[in-house]
Order: sequence, then C-alpha cells, then structure tokens
Amino acid sequence: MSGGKKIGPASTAILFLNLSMAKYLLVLPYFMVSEVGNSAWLVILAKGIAAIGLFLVIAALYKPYVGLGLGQLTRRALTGPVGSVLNVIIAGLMLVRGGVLFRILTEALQTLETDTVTIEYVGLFVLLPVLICAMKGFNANVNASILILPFTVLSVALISLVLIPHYNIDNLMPVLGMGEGKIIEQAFFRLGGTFELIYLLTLSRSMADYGTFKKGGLIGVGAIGFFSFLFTLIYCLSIPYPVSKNFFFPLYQLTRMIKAGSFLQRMEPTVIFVWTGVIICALSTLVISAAELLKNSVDIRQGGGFVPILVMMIFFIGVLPRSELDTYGIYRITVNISHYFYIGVIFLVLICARLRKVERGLTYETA
Amino acid sequence: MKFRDLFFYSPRAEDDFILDEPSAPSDDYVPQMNEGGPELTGNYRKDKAAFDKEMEKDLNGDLKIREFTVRVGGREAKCAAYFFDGLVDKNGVNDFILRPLMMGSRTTEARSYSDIMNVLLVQSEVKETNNLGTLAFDINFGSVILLIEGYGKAISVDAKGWEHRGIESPEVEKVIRGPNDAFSEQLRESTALIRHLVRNKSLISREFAVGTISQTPVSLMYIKNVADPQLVREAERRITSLDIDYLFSSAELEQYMEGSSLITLPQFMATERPDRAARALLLGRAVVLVDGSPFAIVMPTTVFELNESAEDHYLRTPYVNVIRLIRLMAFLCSLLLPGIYVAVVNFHGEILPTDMLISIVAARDKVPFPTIVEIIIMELSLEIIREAGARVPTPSGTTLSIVGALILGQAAVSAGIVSPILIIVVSIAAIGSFATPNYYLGISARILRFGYIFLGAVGGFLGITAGLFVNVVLWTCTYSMGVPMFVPVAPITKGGVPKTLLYPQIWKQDYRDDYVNPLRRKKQQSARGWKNKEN
Repeated sequence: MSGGKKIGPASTAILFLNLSMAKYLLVLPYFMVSEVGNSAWLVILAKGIAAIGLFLVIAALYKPYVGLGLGQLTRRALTGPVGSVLNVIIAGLMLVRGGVLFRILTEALQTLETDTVTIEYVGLFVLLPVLICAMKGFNANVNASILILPFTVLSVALISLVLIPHYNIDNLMPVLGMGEGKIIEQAFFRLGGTFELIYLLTLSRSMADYGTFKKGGLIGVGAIGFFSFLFTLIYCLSIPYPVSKNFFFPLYQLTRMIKAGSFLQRMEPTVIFVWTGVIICALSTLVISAAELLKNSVDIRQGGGFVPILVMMIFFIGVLPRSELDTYGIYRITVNISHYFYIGVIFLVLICARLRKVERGLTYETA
Repeated sequence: MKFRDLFFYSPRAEDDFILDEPSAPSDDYVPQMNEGGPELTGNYRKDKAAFDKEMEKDLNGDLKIREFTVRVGGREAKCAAYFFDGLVDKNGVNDFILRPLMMGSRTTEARSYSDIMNVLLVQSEVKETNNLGTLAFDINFGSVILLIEGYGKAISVDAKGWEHRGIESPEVEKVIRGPNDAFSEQLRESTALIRHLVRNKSLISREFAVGTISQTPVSLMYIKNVADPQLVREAERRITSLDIDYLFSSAELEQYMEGSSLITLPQFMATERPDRAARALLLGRAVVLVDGSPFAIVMPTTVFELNESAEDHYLRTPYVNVIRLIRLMAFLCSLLLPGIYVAVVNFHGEILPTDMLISIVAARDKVPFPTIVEIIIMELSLEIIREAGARVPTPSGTTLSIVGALILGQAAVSAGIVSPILIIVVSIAAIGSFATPNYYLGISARILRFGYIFLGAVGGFLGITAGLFVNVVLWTCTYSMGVPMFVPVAPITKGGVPKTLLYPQIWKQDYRDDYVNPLRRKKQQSARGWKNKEN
C-alpha cells in the first residue's frame, strides 16, 4: 500500500459519495422500508439533514487534527493499549461491513451468472480487484472512484427516467406511513452516516487541509443524502407497500422492472456491473481504512502487509454459511450498536485530544 | 570445463567482441566530447602520427586525408586535412577550405597562424583545439580537421553535408486542413522547423550527447518563461543520467525515460509534426528531439491527449467533439468488443433480442469450437496478417489483403471454423484500433483485448468489470514526468473535466492546463476583440 499526494475537496467528495453509495443504494431502501414503510423517503430526507448538522459539529471539533487521521489521533488521545484496542475494534467493524457488502454483491451477481456459479467463484472476481486497488493505495482508489462515479450517476438517472411509467403517487400514501413517532425515531435517534464519518476521519490524513475535509465532506454528505433520497423515493413510488419490503436488493428489483421498449430491460445486467465497480471501490476503501487503523495500532509505518489479510477476512466473513449466525446476522448485531458506538468513539477521542492537548498538525512521520 | 558450462554458453576470450585494444580500460576507449584526452605536442610529424592512430587510419576506409602546403608568415608549412567521406559537403571543402589554404594563402598572405582562421577560412564555425578527443568527436560530426606544421594546435572547420531525406509530408499524422511538413532525421532541420513556428527568443534548445559510443545529439526544447522549470530540470536529469553506449531513436529514448515500463499505456506522446510539437511547447510542455529520428517526444502527456489527433486543433468545435466521441467509442470497441461478445454468448444471452440470439446460435451451430477458441483463432489470424502486412513490400500488400480477406472472411466461415457474426466483431475491433490516433495506444488495446476475451470467457460481464477496474487502477497510477496520466479527470483539476469532455471553442481556450504548472497560465485574453463593443 503506497502513500501518495494529498487529495482535494472534489476528490474527497467523490470518494465519500462512492463508498457511501455502495451501501445506501444497494440495500438502504430495503432497510428503511422494512422499518417505516413507504414513508422511507421522508426518513432519508430528515436523516440527511441531521447528518449534515452532525458532520458540521464534528468537523469543527476535528479541525486541528486533519493531518493526523483518526488512527493516529486515537493513539495519541487515548494513549497506551486503549487507543490500539479501539482502532482494532473499528477496523473489525469495517471488516464486518465489508463482509456484508461483499455478500450482498455476490448474491446479486450469482443471479446474473449461470446457476452453477459458486459464491467463491464470483468472490474471486470481486476481491482480486479489491486487493490490487488497496495495494496501489489511497490515490488509486480515489482515481478509480472518480472514473466510476459518473456511470453510477448515469445508471441512477437512467433507472429514474425509464421507470417513469411505473410511478404511482398512491404508493406514497399515507405520507407519514407508520406514524410520525416512528419517523422521528428513525431519523433523529438512529443517526445516519456515522460509519461514513469514521471513514472520512480515518482517511483525512490524505486530505490537503481542513478546507478540503470540510468542503469535500459537506459536498459528499449532501450528495449522498440527495441520491439516497432520490433513489428511495423512486423505489417507494414504483413499488407499493408491503410488496416493497420483500426485495432485499431494491436496485436489482428496479432494474428488472424496466420495460421501456424491451431493449433497456435487456441492459439490466450492465447496470448491475456498474454497481459492482462502485462496491469494489467501497471495499478497497474499507480495506485501506482498516489497514490504516491497524498500522496505527501497532506503530508501524507501512500498512500494506495487512491488506491481503484483511481482504481474506472480508471473504471469510462474507461467505459465512446460512446458519444461526451468518453474515447478515453479524451485521445486524453490529449495526444496532454501531450508531451509538461510532458517534461515542468520535466524541470521546475528540474530547480526550482536546483535554490532553494533542499537538496539532503533527503527523506520525514527523512526530 | 565446469559443470555449469555444460548448460550455459560462455564465449571464449577470442570470441569476445573487442572494441579496443585489450590493454585499454574498457570505459576509456571512446573519445568523449569534453574529456581530457591526449594533447597535441606541436611536432607536426608526431601529432599527425598520433591523430592517424586515434582515427584508425589504416582500418577506416572512409577516412580521407589530403596533404598539402600552406604559406604562413612567408614560409611553406605542411598541412593535412582529415575528414570522413560522406559526412562533409565536398564542394564546400574544395571551395572554402582547400582552395583558400592552397591558393588563397599565396595571394592573400597569412602573416601569422591566427590569420588562417581569421582571414583565409570563411566557414561560419571554426575553432582550434589541441585535444585529440575533441578532434575525433568533431570529425565524426562532419568537421574537417586541419593539422598545420608549426601551429601547435589543430583547426576544426564545420563542413557537415551528408546526404539525407528532405522535409516531407507526415506519414502517420496526416491532416486535411493544416501544415504538411514533418520532422526529418536531421536534428538541426527538426529544431529549425520548430523555431520557424515559434519565433521567440525564449525558445530554448538544450543540447546533449547521449550514448557513450554513439554520442547521439539530443535536443531538449522548451519555452523559458512558459514551461515549468521543475519539468525542464527533471527532463534534463533523466537525459543526462543515461549511462548507455548508443541511442538511435526517440522511441528508445522514450523507453529509457518513462517511469513504468510494464504498463501498456504510453507515457509520452510521439509526433512527427512540427506544428504539434510547437503547440505543445507553447502550452508549457517540453519536447525532446533525437538526431536520426523523425519523431519528437512531447512530455508530459495525458491519456486524453493521446486520444487527440493532429487535426483536432484545425477543426471547428462541433466537428472535433463528435469526432473525439467516435474515436473514444472506436478505442472501447477495439478493447472490449471481442470480450463482450464472448461474455454475451457464454453468460448473458438475455441481453440480446431473441431473434438476434437465435441467429447467433444458428450460425454457431456448425462451429466445432467453443467461442473463446473461435475468437482467439480469428484474432491471432488477424494479428499475423497485420504483422505480415507491415513487413511485405507495397506491391505484395494487395495480394496479402486479398488472401487475408478470403481466408478470414469467406473460407473460414465456409469451412465452419468460425461464425459470420464473429467476423463482424473481430473486424470492428480491428478497425477500432486503427481509428485510435496514437499508435502505441492502439497496440495497447490490441494486447489487452486478449485479456478481456479471457475474462469474458471465464467470468462474463463480471470478469470484464473486474478487468476494467484493475486496468483503470493501474492506468490512473501511471505518471508522465510526474503528471498523472488521467489528469484532469482523475485526479480532478479545476475546470479540467468540462474541457476534457467537451472541447471548447478556440477563442474560449484562455488558459494553459494547470497540471503542467506553466509559468504563464493565461494564454489569450479577449481573443475575439472585435466582439467587444469598445473596438
């Protein structure tokens, strides 16, 4: 894993967008619709506004430590093994997230390949690029994200356009769905985007300055909020409740619904493969972030050695067989605690850093 | 004999290719331009013998020595003129060197030895030296060396004038609207062609001699107050650090200077057009010319510039944008189409309209091979014909085309080796590679195509997606003189993306690209002054 030059706000925003899109557009509508019915779009809208507010607060507190990155800051603010253990826990949660993304993707892809294709076979084509991208480093990942993102946006736009005949405003009624209490609980008590914030803080070490961090992060949070709102709205508009809560891969379901002139329907697999690129990007970002955290836990300068191990761990988490505790089971457990855990970790580290007067602007290399 | 000698060829000492006397240290036999070699003694006979030995007089058939006398200071002095036949302009030597010395010295008497240089020799470039190494260097560059009795020094008179190809039309980068001259193998002519277009004192041409033996002249050109000094320093560093025996072409120099040798993406742009090189200079790039090579290297370059043709700047904006899009599609077809065909036939038949799928299946019914074998047979045949086409003389080329077309087109289908649809796929891919403006980029697509065929066969669209992703990652990590190859898109630069996607009107191109760090960012201001109301 090589280092590289610092990135600017546009690259930061695109990276953030890409790594968030992987989850938000693949499964988020399903999770939201399961919880609050077809008013999920409203929840996403409120969650987006809350996420922007949360980001601004954290960005203000994090201002002096942009050059450090979360991994180093944790080590400095919580000295000794506590910081190391915390870094390892966050890295572990990242791997769980990576594992579930990998699982979702491979299951979706299996439906497109021939029946005999195994998850391991599909996994090879997903994880090999992840490994190469992560080994090439953060800048390679950013560049790949930049090149893939326009196709992702185009595919969402295409889906939105060709689904217009399926839009039915009645599907959104009643607007408040399962009640305003449920909406408020989902929107404001289960904060969205906390995991993405952890990413952003971890990778802030590669960002040019605080301006880049703030501007890039803000554009990223805003854009992902907009896209996930748009996508959920399209999903809710096109598929009535309770049918909508039956599809685990909303994107795939939507692409299958495309009937515009039958030719576009045939293009459905290509849309899926654009999304494959997005998820490969997201997975490699996860691996790089986790490697960065582990590197800081054990005080070594190069984290490249962790990359193959982390990729293998994602694979093993992703292929856990459907038993009592499979990939999704682990993810459900972690996702329930992670909302509060991540935000708690961020504030704990920032408060400790302020109290301990962690030296500002120092990097691990210069320390 | 040692045991390993049974397996490895080890030439005997007498088989070795010896460039100089065995006693001489291997690194010292080559005369260097500025090295301190043996000096002239001032004794004419000894100096002449030493120079004869230095120039291997008995072995070199093309070394000509004309001995005569010249009148200096009222007395006759022996003189010897050395030159290589074919490297000098013989008429010039006769009229402006030998005639003034042999006859002119008697009518216009040279009072002292310095008068020989100041009065008799009317050549523009005359110098005196007493270093044998420098003399040997000069004579190899088309100078006439004069050894004069009693002078103590030798005179080197520039008289180069070898036969060479003149300025001709470009062979590779032809245009319809635009200048039609191309660089030649003569470095000086090539630099002059650029100077003819950039008539500015800031245009610098730094000269280097590359190759310990070949001493090939290399010129690094840039515009002093436009090009980034760091770029110039880096180019200079890469050229001067080369420790090689010889250099014949800019293509070789390109390989010595590039950062990543295993990536298929070319990291410099080669051009045979002086206007293109001049434009690059004016946009803040550096240009390297090599004596003996009619191609200039432009550095740094990006993948988007590699997709530009020489004519793009002469065409109106709407035409350029459409043509560029077609070119991009051609490149993608060349790269991916065969792989996509294999993926569709093997995995994703549902993507095709049913009628088309049925016709493909029916056409493939008689073919005994799996799709991947079928397509590899066709691709290999095409590559063999293409390679043969590049080697055969022009008259045989027509025959080759007919044979190729018959074998590939008619006979292969009739024999049931390949299906007709495959011929279409392979042909479009082949034409796509020809439509790619940069030759190396076209080759790159041809090589990678085999990889995508394999990935399409084993993983369908997923395999191609994975391959594309790896390709993108590797290509975006490639740099041309420190500039990322995918800039200004990945990484993004301010205002770079719209300009890359849509070529702006010529009067809107106010700024030079920021990623080359030009010293003058602004290129033009109010380019169409007549549009302003004040004018």
